[in-house]
Amino acid sequence: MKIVGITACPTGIAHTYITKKKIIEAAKACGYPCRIETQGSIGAEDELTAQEIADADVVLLAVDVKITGEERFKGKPIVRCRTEDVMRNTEGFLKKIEATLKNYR
Amino acid sequence: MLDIREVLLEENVNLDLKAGTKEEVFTQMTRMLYENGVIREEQPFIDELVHREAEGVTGIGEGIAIPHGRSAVVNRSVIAIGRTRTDVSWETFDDKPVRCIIMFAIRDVDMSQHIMLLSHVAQLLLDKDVIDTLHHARTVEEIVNILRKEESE
Repeated sequence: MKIVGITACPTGIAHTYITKKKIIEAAKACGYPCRIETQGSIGAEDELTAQEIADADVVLLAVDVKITGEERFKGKPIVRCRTEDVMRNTEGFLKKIEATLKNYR
Repeated sequence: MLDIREVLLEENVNLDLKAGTKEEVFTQMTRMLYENGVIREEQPFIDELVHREAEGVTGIGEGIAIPHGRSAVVNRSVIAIGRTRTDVSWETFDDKPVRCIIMFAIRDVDMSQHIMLLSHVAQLLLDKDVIDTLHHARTVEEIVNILRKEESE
């Protein structure tokens, strides 16, 4: 399962980046290729490319606030949640997404 | 990248905080920031901390909490550290009690490298060596050193 995603939190200083790191580490442990863009207080970093989005099986939006550029994911399966939903049990969360995707196909 | 010491000053660390509740942590650490000239007024900053708590869990696990306040009364963006001998009741992701509080004081409008540094430090708080050091360090130096080491890796 190839993942692309965005993290964003209310202050844009801490949770945005902690959640990103947690997702990347959990994805690595599960063997999922993963790219995460952050939309923090200093703006978007590690922005996803059109190719990365096209190649992804799922888009994970772990966001507590409004984000920009969501139209890029049109037509892709999107999982939307709050940063804290991912932070609690990140590996479990990703595995659940994979299971859901399988059933969906 | 700036050095960690730009945002983590020894005077803003209290490894023997006498606080048993989140409110006491906020009051005491805010007082410390006020006395050190990081913030101009205490109550507006405490209000911001409380406001952010209402928006989501700041207890990120392993006994660490990261309350943060972005406010116009903040003179410069810094990290303050407080550690208690007893458990502090806090909403956390792993339901473990909190003993180490990494507080982020953020200037209202700040697009500087300080902000990037704060975000980097936030990520380091998931690292096992960093967590261990935060809980057991006897000096601020030890904490600065581990953050600096992880930073460069």
